[in-house]
Amino acid sequence: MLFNSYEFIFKFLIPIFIIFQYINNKDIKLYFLIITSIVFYYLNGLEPFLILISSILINYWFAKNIQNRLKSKKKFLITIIIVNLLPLIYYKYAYSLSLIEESIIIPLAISFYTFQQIAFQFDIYQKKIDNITFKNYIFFVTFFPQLIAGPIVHYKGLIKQINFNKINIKYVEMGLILFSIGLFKKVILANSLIPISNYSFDNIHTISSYDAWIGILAYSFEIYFDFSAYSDMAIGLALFFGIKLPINFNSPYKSINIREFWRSWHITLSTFLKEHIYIPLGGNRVSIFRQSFNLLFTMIIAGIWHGSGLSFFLWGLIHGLLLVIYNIYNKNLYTIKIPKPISILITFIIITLLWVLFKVNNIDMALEYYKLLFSFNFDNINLKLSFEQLILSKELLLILMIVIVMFLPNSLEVSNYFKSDKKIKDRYIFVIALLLFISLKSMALIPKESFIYFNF
Amino acid sequence: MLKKFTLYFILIFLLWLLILFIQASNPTKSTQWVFDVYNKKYNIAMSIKKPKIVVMAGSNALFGINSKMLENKFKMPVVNYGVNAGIDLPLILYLTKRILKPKDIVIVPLEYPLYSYNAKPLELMIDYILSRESKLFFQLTLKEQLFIIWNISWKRVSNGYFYKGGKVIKIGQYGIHHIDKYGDQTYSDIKYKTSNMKNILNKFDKEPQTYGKDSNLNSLGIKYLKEFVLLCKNRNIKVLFVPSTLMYNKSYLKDKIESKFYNNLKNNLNQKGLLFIGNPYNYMQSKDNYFDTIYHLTTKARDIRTKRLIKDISQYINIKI
Repeated sequence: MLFNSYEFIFKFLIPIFIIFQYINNKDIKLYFLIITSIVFYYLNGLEPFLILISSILINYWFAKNIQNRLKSKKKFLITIIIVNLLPLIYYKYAYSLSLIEESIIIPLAISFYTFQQIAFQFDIYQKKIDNITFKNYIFFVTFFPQLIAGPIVHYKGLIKQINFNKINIKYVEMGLILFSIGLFKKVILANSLIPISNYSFDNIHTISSYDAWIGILAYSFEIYFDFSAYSDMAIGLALFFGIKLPINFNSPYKSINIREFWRSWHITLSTFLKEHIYIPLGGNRVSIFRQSFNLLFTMIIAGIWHGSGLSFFLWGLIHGLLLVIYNIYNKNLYTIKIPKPISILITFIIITLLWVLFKVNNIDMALEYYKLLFSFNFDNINLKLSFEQLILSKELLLILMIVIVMFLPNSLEVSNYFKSDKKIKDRYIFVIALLLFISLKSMALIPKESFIYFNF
Repeated sequence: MLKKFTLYFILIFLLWLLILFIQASNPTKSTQWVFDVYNKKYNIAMSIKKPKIVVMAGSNALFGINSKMLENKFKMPVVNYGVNAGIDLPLILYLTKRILKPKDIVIVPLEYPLYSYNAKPLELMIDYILSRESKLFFQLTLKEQLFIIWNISWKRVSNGYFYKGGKVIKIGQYGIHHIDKYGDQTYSDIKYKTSNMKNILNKFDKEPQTYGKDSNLNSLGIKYLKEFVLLCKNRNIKVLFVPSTLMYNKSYLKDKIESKFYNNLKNNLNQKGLLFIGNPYNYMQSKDNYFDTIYHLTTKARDIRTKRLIKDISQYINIKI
């Protein structure tokens, strides 16, 4: 069930929200959310459901054992990390590594709940968590707003919020605002870019360099709004039930360098990688050479976490190299001061160019696309457009996307405004209601599109 | 804030209704040819003073009936009132009712999905109703009305405001310039068949339409048809349901669900009180006999179909039902 579907909103979310508010007992509220979350995931199929449940049971058993153990705790930790990674490796990489002959469907959310549970085991090992109960643990893994594509949360951060006191109107309001904005980003902004990017990437052999640039820019904004939408909706949904999930997205295209980009794009994944790979490898407390290796290794893991294949590996590697270069450049005392807009532009172009590897998932095609981009053949630009053609043009749509991304407040800023004690201006409430109306209405007309991050 | 939000949401919805209301009855281009053809056929029908045969359906009738053959056989004037199935069942019935008079005979080779019409009007019907037949909107069920209000596209609404059209279309494959004095399509000879048309047919040959799978004979469509039959009966008008033509595909025989649909259609409709005559398989022809879609026969194939139709309905034309 997709968040951007009528089934989810009207048959799942609204009834669940209403019933939840009528339940008085805290424990029953928790059980209710666990059952609904399990149903939510079970609707994707029995096999992924069984894998998820097995994973939860095994992880819970190991966590209990690590907690109670005085000796061999580390061995237990390593074992459970391997146990977690095995199904992920099998489903994601077995086919591309030619370990199996036929491709298999990757169970939905496996990358996310695997990482979340690994983080949990680390927390147990480091005694950051005192006591765990099965009901809390199953809730922590399955809570439906964050189950499918994050944010990746920590046990303690989530569980401390499940006191489910009286309905928090402010949270519900925030939830509605974020959900409405997220739905609009997905249904209107991201989905309107899909045909443009697909056209360019599906017709590599026939399009011009100009169309290739249009295509990659469209994809860059598509993935931006798609993931931003999912993050907003997930946080918004959790707020309906009184839970605050961590921020996962904070205007990454306004970043002035690659490091800042990774601090604002998929923040919880970056944090996971930093806490569980980069820092254990030595982080930045080691020599510059070792630090560079740590960065490269961490980013390669980030790349292959997103998908199998050389293109994802390369995507991670290049991001790693860019971070290394930035790191070295940053340590140099004689750095050139680049004006902020130029830095933003350079960072944006680099990140956008690297999305080619993400989109095509095939190194030959990626190389062909790059060749096309850098042939700079702009012969077929039509400058004589009628007013109607101009209004409906891809170029104008992309300019609109740039304006939205660069100049409008992001969801975090919007929600902070609504959260504040200031008197909220009616026109802003009207705008949010309008966004929700337009999104819901448009959902009737367009096919449901899944979120890009559901593939990871 | 929640109260205000809800209030604004309702206000926006009302504003949307107003936007729809203001542009209602403004003609758009997409249904212009359908409107033109219905107008021409209406004039043909109204010029006939004697009891007549009316063929009511979508374009399978437009392309697939030789009215002259029917007229010669049954010695009654014939008007082919088939235009386009895309405007959906309620509109087809609504437009046809206008031309019916006592003692008329209505032959209904309805396209199969129309039997399963279930309060979800297609884009063309929405367009047509809002631009040309807004009175019908108020005769529809609440479910259909809400569906129209919610499912009309942004583009269609903007066309309603900005399209400066309404002129009769006299070019292209569809339009009054290809309609003869009976209402039959004239431009469907095999010599006009382009490679693009062949490609479309090939595509459908590989991926056949699965009407059996999607059929629902407890639909609103059946209810509308029953009401139509009752109305006709009260006005002494005979209604005969017959099979539509459809490009043959072996899956229609071999697939369990599909074959069950076609084999049982006659019995199922008869049980609903709709007199259905003929075997759907007898009206399916091979790919080469179709013009540009799986419903549009070429001129030659149209005659084969009409002969079959005559054979099937002959005994029912002159008896009182």
